[in-house]
Amino acid sequence: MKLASVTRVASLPIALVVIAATARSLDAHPLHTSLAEIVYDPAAKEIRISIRVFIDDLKKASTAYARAHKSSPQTMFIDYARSSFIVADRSGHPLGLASCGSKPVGDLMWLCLRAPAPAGIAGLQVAHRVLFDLYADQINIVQASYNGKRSSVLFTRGDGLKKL
Amino acid sequence: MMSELFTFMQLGFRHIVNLEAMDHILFLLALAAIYRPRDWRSALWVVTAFTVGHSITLALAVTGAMVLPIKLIEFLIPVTIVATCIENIIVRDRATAPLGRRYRPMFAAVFGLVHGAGFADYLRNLFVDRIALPLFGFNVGIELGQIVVLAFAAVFLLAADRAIQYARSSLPAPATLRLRVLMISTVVMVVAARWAIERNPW
Repeated sequence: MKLASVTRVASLPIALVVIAATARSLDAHPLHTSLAEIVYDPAAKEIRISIRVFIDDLKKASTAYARAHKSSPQTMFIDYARSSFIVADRSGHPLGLASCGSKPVGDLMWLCLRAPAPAGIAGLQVAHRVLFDLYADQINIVQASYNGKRSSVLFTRGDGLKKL
Repeated sequence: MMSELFTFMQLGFRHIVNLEAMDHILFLLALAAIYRPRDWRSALWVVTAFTVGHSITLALAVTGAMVLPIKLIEFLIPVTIVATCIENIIVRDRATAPLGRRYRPMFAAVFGLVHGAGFADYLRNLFVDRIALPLFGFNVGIELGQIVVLAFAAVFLLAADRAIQYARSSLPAPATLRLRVLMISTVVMVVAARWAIERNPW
């Protein structure tokens, strides 16, 4: 067999081995999404926010946050949520968010935040930046229920405040 | 309601039109690899059948009607890509295949069942209530994303044909198509086989 023929026959398996070896490893394609729901409590004149985050991801992000901001292990989940979920009034002034607890539900942690909102939900602005520091393809959704209506807003990395 | 539908459409669209979705994109490329530009309706039909397949699993898994072993599913996704590439290479006359013209959409739908199970776990955890509209919007977004990927795949396949014709100008059109199918299917198969080995659950 001539050298040219040998080279041609050998080149295909060699090329395939090179492709297999240099192909990027790919984990299963997860859906990096966090969902937050905002409801209005007319009796207390406050909004309540429930943020659903996968526990594994929340641990990674809040541990890094706690290290940088000297947050305690007991409060780091909520501290992280308060730092990355923003609610602002019509003029853009952030509302002070207080914790109303957290609970694990399956693979998720449900984090509860609340804030006084005498004028209700309409006109409020939000930014849901939870886990943006962890994943470039993170997509977060905020859903709000008020006056019998539902409104949804989508956030990707780099997004600022959006009106509900 | 419209903002909710549109939001979840965006979620589905962005989930597919994303380089992190390379397993999904390569599967679509493998599905499209056998078609000529004039076969675009067949390609669209196959991709839609794939969407129907994964919408079914997604609905069953999200509503809790079916619980799926996620590690096995993650392994099976690249296996479906390998199987599609093998089918591309082996089957040369699809008109005489069992089920005739419906044969390829059928197998795309069956493989879609596997792919849908891949992200059902994430959605089930997130949407514990009011899932119908988000799920519908998500699936519509996935389908729109797939059409965009299919359009890019068509451009890529045309470029591959031009490159083959440039390198071997004497080749007739059917031979060019065959060579394109062999080259693309072989490369995609090798990459997917590596992912399957990496995700081996045993």
